[in-house]
Amino acid sequence: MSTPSLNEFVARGRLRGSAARVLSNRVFLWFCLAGTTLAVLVLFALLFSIFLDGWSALSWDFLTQFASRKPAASGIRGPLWGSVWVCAICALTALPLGIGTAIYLEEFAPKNRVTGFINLNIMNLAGVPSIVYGIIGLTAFARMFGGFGTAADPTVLLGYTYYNEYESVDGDIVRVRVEGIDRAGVVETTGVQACLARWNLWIAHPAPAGALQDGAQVEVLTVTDDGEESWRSATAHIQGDAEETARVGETKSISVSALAAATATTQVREGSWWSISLPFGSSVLAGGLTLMLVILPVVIISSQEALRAVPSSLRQGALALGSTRWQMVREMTLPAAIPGIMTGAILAMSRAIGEAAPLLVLGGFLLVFATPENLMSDFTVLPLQIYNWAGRPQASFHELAAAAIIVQLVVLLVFNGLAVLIRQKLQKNLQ
Amino acid sequence: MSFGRARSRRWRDWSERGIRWSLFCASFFSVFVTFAILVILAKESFLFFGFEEVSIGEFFGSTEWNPLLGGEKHFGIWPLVCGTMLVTVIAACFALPIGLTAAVYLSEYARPTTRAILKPALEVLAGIPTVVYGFFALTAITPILHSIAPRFGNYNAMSAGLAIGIMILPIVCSLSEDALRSVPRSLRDGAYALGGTKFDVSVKVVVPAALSGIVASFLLAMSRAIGETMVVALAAGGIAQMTAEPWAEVQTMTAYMVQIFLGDAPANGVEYASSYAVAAVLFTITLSFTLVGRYILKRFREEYE
Repeated sequence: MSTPSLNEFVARGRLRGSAARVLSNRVFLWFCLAGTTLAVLVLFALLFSIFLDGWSALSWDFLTQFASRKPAASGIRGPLWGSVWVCAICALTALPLGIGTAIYLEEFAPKNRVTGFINLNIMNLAGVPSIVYGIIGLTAFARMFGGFGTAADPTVLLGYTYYNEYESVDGDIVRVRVEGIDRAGVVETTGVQACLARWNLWIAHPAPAGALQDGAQVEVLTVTDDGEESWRSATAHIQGDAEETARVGETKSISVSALAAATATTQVREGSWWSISLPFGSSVLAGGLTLMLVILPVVIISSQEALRAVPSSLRQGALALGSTRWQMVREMTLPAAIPGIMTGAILAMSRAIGEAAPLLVLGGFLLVFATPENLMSDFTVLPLQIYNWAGRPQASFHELAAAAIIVQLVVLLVFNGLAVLIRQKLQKNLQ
Repeated sequence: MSFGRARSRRWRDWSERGIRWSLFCASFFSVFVTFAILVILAKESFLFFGFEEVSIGEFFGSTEWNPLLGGEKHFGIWPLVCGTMLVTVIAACFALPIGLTAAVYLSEYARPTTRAILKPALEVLAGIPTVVYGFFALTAITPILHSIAPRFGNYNAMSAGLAIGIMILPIVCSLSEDALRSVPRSLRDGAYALGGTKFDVSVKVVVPAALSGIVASFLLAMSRAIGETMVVALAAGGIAQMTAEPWAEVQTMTAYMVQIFLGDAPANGVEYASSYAVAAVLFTITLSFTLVGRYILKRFREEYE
């Protein structure tokens, strides 16, 4: 028996009431379908228009060049590496903190008011706009409440090596390492004349103020004919006056280039990757920590959900066998919950990759022509670069923005795919 | 033997205690973050109200926001709140009806296969970075609006509002759908048994039963819209004004903050400090949305067991 069609219902006058209901049912179905279709269409329109805009600008050069004022020579090398650094710092800080919090709240904490308060608090943190986190990051990390001086003149510097820098007439640079100094400053020297023999630096009297002594180890930037630069170690010899020094150098070695008389040399500092200065300024470290604040609640909530999904029979079994709480967590709960936790972590990281507002507040470094070298390096990230290009009036920059968006979306797609893969591969049926 | 056992037990107790403590410290960090937010915003806003150009009465009473341009400076928060609300209302008008109907369709009408395709597609929409929506607003929505009605300029509230609407659509849809699906089958079966059509069952039974979840999803989406930054920074313009015209250029609270931190406002100046006060207002508004949403979810939840 088939349902009578709408017309048949309408034809039977007696059933007018139900005809209206059938009509309303059908209209509503169309209404719902239209809403859903519109939502999906919008998604397609968005992706399609971006691909149309950006496809032509996408190339290998685009990935490996730095940003430039000329659209044709522009690329996203800086923001790509900036994103990698910032997200790595963010993951290294947010994941242990977030997962640890979730483990404590789900497995250790007594169900009392304090725990309830912490839970409520995390829910509220998840609703705080990311730009507010940006302001907090700016105040707490980048400026450190103004308690350590400014970012340009930091109070505390750890892990840096200081060099006095001398420039020669033909553009060579000699760096002399300064020992026993913990702050950068300018060392004024007069009448320095030096010449560079291979791996030996000959410097005339008087020696530059500072710690340069006879026999000191220095670093010399040598530039080959095809422009390749490299730093080499050398030994400093202080001897005679300028001309004499030059002569000494000549007699000592084959290739000699004279250094100009430098009236004032600058002092530079060079950090290793872990060097830290306080305050952090607009550095990758400050950026990563700010993003940590943004995604921490997300990580906590998703990890809590993953832990809650572990059946309590597993816990009871472990406890009944005499294990401590931590042994139970380590051996039973965590292995069972790890797929869910990892999925949540990856989704949280994909949020971190796309965040622009907090980093915009933090630094606003919109044009960066270098990849980060240490924790204190300036940086930009992909969404910031997209913002920068999208905000310009020229259409050619809009193309670049669209191309960068394509790269960003591909990265996100990979992340989401990973999450799905992990969920499917690792999930065991525990019920 | 017994000595060894005792020592290992003591070691175990100590490591257990240590782990417990470090996990507790981790969980306390989130409380510390909240505390830091409150203290920083309160302290800096306090400093802001200490400037002689500023008074609390003007901040909450004046309808003029004019912190940067030469001449007399005015700090009345209402134009920024008004701009934020205009954009949010446009976004809500777009996203809430469509999101809800899509949720009803997915939960009540769609076949499992259709649902298995559509739901992930909408979740992709949710994962797209917000700056992408800003770009879309600027390069696609604004030109379309302009070709429909020329009074829509390069920057307007409508374009930003629509883009934010698209952005919050998946939040509304996904959370409402969760709420609709958590309504037990027995309620639907009962309604069908009484002769209800699908329309009757969805609109008169399931939606009311899930109303608290739906309203909570609306509030969450609205608070996202209020706090959204990149879209308005790109597409809404930079004029803080009291207006309800969707084609007007408006400045939201978040866009103002971006303008300050990107610009050359001196770090100790009154403009700089004003952004903390604006952030405090923004934080208060979004927090109250979140709290009201949670309250509704708790208070009005229909329990079916």
